[in-house]
Amino acid sequence: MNATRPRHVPRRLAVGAALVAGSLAVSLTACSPGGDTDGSTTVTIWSWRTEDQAAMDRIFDSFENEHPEITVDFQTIPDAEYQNRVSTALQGGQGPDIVQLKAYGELQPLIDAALIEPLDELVPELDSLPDTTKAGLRGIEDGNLYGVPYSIVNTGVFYNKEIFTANALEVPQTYDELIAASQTLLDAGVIPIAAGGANGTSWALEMALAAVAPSQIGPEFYDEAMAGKVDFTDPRYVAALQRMVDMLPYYSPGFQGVDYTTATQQFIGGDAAMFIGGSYENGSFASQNPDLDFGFFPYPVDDPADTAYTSSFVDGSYGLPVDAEHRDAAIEVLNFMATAEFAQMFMDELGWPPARDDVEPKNPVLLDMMAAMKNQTPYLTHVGFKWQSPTASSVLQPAFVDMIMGKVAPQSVAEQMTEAVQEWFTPNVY
Amino acid sequence: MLSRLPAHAVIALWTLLIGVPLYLLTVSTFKSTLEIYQNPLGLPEAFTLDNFVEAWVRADFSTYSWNSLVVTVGSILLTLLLALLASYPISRFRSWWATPMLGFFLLGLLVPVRLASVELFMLMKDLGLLNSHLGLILVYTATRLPFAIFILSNFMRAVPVELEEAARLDGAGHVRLLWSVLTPQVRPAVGIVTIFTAIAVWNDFYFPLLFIFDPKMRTLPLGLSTFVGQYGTDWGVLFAGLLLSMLPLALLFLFTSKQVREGVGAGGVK
Amino acid sequence: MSTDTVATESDGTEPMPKPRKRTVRRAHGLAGWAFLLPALLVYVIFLVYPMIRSLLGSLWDWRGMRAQSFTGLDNFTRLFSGQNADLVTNAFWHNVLWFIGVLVVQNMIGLLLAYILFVRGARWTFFQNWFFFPAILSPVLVGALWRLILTPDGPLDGVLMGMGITSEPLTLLGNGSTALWVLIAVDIWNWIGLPILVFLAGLNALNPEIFEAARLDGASSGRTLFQIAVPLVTPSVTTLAVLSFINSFNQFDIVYVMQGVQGGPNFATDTLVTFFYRLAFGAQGSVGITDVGLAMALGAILFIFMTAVSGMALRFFNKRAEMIQ
Repeated sequence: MNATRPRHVPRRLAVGAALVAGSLAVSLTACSPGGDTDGSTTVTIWSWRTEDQAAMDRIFDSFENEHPEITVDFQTIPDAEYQNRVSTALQGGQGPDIVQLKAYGELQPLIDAALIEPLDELVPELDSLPDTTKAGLRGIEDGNLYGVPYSIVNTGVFYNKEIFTANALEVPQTYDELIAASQTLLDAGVIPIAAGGANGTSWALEMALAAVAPSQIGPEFYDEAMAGKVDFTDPRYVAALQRMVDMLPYYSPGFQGVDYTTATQQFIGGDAAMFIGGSYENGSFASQNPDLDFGFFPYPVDDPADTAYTSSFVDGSYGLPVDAEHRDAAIEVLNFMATAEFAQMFMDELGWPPARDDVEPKNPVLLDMMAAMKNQTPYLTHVGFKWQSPTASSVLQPAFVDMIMGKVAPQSVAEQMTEAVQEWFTPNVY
Repeated sequence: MLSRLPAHAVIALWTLLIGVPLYLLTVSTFKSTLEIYQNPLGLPEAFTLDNFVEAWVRADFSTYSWNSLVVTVGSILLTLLLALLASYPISRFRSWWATPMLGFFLLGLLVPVRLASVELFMLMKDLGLLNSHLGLILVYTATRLPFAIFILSNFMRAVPVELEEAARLDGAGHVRLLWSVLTPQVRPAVGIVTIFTAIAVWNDFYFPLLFIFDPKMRTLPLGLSTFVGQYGTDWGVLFAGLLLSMLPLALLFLFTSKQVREGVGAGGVK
Repeated sequence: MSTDTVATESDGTEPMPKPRKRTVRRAHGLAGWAFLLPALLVYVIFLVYPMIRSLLGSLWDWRGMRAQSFTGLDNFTRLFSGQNADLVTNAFWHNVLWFIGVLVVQNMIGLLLAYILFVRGARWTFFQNWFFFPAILSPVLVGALWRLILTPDGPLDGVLMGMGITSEPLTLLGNGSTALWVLIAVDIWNWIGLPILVFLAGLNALNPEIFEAARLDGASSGRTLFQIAVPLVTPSVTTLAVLSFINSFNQFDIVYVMQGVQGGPNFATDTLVTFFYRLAFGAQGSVGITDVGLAMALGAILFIFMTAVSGMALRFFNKRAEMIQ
């Protein structure tokens, strides 16, 4: 055996041991809580709105100017992973100081597990909110409010004004006009309606359904359903599902392989004339293509004599984890987020319908959306049927693409949705 | 024997099947999204590094790469150290527990570790190891030890006893025997363990997904998946990020492909 | 603890190995444990202990990630009733199909490629490395790469439509009847190097005279492959079968990256581990609420199933392999 070998080894192992020690030391120091060198407290915020990072940074810059003792670190996690990450992080005591919360039923697990604090007393401004808004922030059992809302979102059709003008099209007032316009666009080689729900993004199709449904179920269906008088197998609701199927010829080519992001890109890039979705798209559409000239209209009704309704809901809110490391500073930031000043900035930056009335909308698309809001009804599957598992959406979303492709009948989807929520739904409770 | 033409055709086909996606990945890093759509297969119009700069700086790949490096190197060294120590008595001592202990470690190759992730998560929480690289290193070491001990003890068993005896004559104790006599003899096994631990740890996505919450602590695969969510439509940047994340392992593979082939041959283990 | 042979060896005067034993093992009691302990500690604390706790945890009622009270087999009953039962069965079959797909297709292609490399010159190490290369890539990268390639209107579509092979956009990933097979194909692409190297090692270990003899007998190459090479590499097949089994039933990353944690479209690519992940840590697109008790029950069943099957397979095949040798 080579006699020189053994002598080298201990040295190498010593180097190795030093490297182990070194890398462990690095990892230990790296995970210590981020101390602030300039003496200000850093409040971390988690949000699923990766699209809004720049706008939110600008809003908090102005807050930091007025509050030099606080620095806001706005971090985003993609929507697909958001709920998992938040629930895991909070249970592991690794959450942020402020956390963006989903609304209604999706908020409840965090409240049940006592991972977030009630804000009724910490943010007095919440008291003045209308009841419909409070419904999205409330703990179903204790009635406390757990978040500061930032927007009441509604649904409808975004359309590319340039493409409409180029094809001599007007904003459709009825379903027939919508289909006629779509056909014209298709013949002109434009994608009439960008849509897709592949790769786990069928929530976007559920959102489109929220825009389409009121034309079939009307504004009264929500109350009837919550009172237990009707369920999803009601012909009106099945007709709403059917309408999603009927528009298939006008959706993005290769519809069943298209996901939400691709669909939005088709609209943003000017390849598609329409996109059916929620008003939160306004800001990200505009920021991704500042030259895009687009408008918004509620999904048209069948009979020109009827009024077009839009589905609305509290998109979410910002709450306080019980383990928040910088609790006091976080409360201060939350109070700022409840002011009219924040609401105005949020609206100006992002163009979402605000959660307060005492603001001045300027964005033209926002004005369209707020006009549509005059006739609104709650987003049925979201506001009404997400309180416990299994939710209506847990049946609807996975089946959505198959339903549109004609592999599952709308009637059968409706039956399964009804069956799922029957496991827990009690009339007049939610 | 095997007629030349079809055999070569099969080889060529599979070579292309691997080559074309990798070629696509590489050329796309120099293209804009629009160019990728319009001209997927052709060479880029210009070899600009914009996409790499975007991925490296704005999408924070520099941080992710550093994190992955710390976790991977830490896991390799700790795994090697512990596995060398454990393989010594398992392979060279006559103890009633040597074989059962090897079997006990080998069980770790069969059990689906991910199914214990809730309890593992709570354990990490209670030990204060969430959101830390040390926590990841310890978990990776635990999951990689079975393979490492399997390979190392197999190689150690084959070391002729004369070497051991000669060293003992010189008055070497256990530690010197292991470090100075056995370890150099099993150098190929050390190489195999190193490269396979590197592949497994560098590429793992599941445990960072569970344990890492601070964006600054993300490893490459986790950063990459977040990045896919954020830059889902900016294909050029996306491809640049993908290419950057595979480069270090590709380089390592270039120099250790012999060990890889031997390792697969010897252990047949991923 | 055995104490024999120590005396003759430890005085070091006679360093002669025993005739048929290349390794002389000594009993060194505590010293052995001292060497073993660090590895044992890390292994037990971070792998064995959570595993055992998870098995026991399946018998408890959970609130979030904390066990609350003992409920016996309640979680198992719930797991096998209603919608959950359908989801378990659905995911289980996908894992089975995945296993069969990988076992048959990957190993057959692997054997073919290995055999060609072996016959035509195993020294073409370039091809061995090249075929193994995808295996060093992370599943996140592989998944993302293929997802981009397969997007409707994406690169592959561009080529196929450009050549006039197809006229409609490709929707392989969005189509429930093809999605699972695409993922399996991607997995095969990813890991094809593994069977190639294992088979090559097996073939290289064979006595070349066997092939020489077959050649002299005028056996065709196909016959040599199937009648001589295949039976002789059976031990490799064993290893590969067990590996394919473990990996097929552990599938998560590729599904997560290419189809999301719900295993879309419409659960067409759902696997047991993605289902487990949803139950334990939550769903994507916010459609469900976690149920850790169910996750534990699913984990326990899968754990017992996998350990039992792979353990038995190894025992069974090891015996056969010994017989062949």
